[in-house]
Amino acid sequence: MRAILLLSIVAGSLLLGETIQDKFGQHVVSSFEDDLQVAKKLRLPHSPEYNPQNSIGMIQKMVKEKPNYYRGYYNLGLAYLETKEYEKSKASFDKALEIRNKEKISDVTIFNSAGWSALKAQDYPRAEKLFLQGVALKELNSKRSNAALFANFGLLYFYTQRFDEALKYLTIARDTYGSTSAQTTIDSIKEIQSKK
Amino acid sequence: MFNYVEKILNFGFLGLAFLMLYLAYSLIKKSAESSEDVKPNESELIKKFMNIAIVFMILAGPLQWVTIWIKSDVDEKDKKVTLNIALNKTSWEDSFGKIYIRKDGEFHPLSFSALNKEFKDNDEILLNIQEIADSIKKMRRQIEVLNSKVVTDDKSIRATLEEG
Repeated sequence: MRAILLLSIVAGSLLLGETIQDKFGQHVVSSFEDDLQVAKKLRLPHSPEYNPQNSIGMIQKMVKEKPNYYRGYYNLGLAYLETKEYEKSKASFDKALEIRNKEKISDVTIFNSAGWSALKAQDYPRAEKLFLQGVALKELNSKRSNAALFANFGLLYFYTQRFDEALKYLTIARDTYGSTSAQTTIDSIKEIQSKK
Repeated sequence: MFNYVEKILNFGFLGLAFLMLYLAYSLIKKSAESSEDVKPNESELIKKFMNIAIVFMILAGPLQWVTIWIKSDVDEKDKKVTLNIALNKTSWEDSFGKIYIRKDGEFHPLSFSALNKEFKDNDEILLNIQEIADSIKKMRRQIEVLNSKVVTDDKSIRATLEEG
């Protein structure tokens, strides 16, 4: 009896493929991790293999197979951003955020990415809401992620002419998290304010 | 219409009171001048005139207050203001025909020449600021696009995109 049970487990795992834990703590088939790395490379604008359409196609297959794939929807949101399909990007991030809440995933980097997507779509109220959520959970972020979050938040206020708030977040990005890109926006604001 | 009511209420009752007094006075004077005795129906009439005069006098005061109250209320509702609405900056020339106000269901486009309209209490003034909001949106989009072209290798953007 035991031998049959053991055999069925081995056969099952061979049929289904080996599962591993991804960077966000979700159990996925090991091939997903490799495929996602490839899809991620395809959506990064500075990558030599840059091809966001292919990236979208790959990730769509994965989320079809695993409908609660958090990392899949997260990357799909960023991939749609590259093809400037802002509504689809928003929908993907919303799905990822829904999975995050349902499965209690601790990742907080998504607030910066989803906020960035909203910023690109000129949906400033949504971007502000997401960045604020990210700021509230900044303790769970890495220094690099916080540098990006605060710099992007500052940029949002820069675009909406809320210069004092922009300076506040950009200064934190620069002084606390070592963001180098925040300085460019700080300089722009100072120049604008000097012309008043 | 109200003006007549107001005049009747303001002066009518007092006037009637004085008329009654005058009639009573005339009868008294006539009786005093005549050598004959005062007839009983004459004295009854004098009394009646005097009583009516008193009633009119008593009513005149409160009615005047009521009139003042109604008048102020009606005046407030009928108050009209004339507004001259126009664009005051030449830089807004592009918006001619796009920004308008709505009055009585009609749309009036705004330009440098002032639109002269009379408005009453609770009249609707609808200013179409959608065009201004759209312009601001376009400007923000412009800033964003220009900024992304100037800053080509932003480390924050790179870090953001590398998440996930």
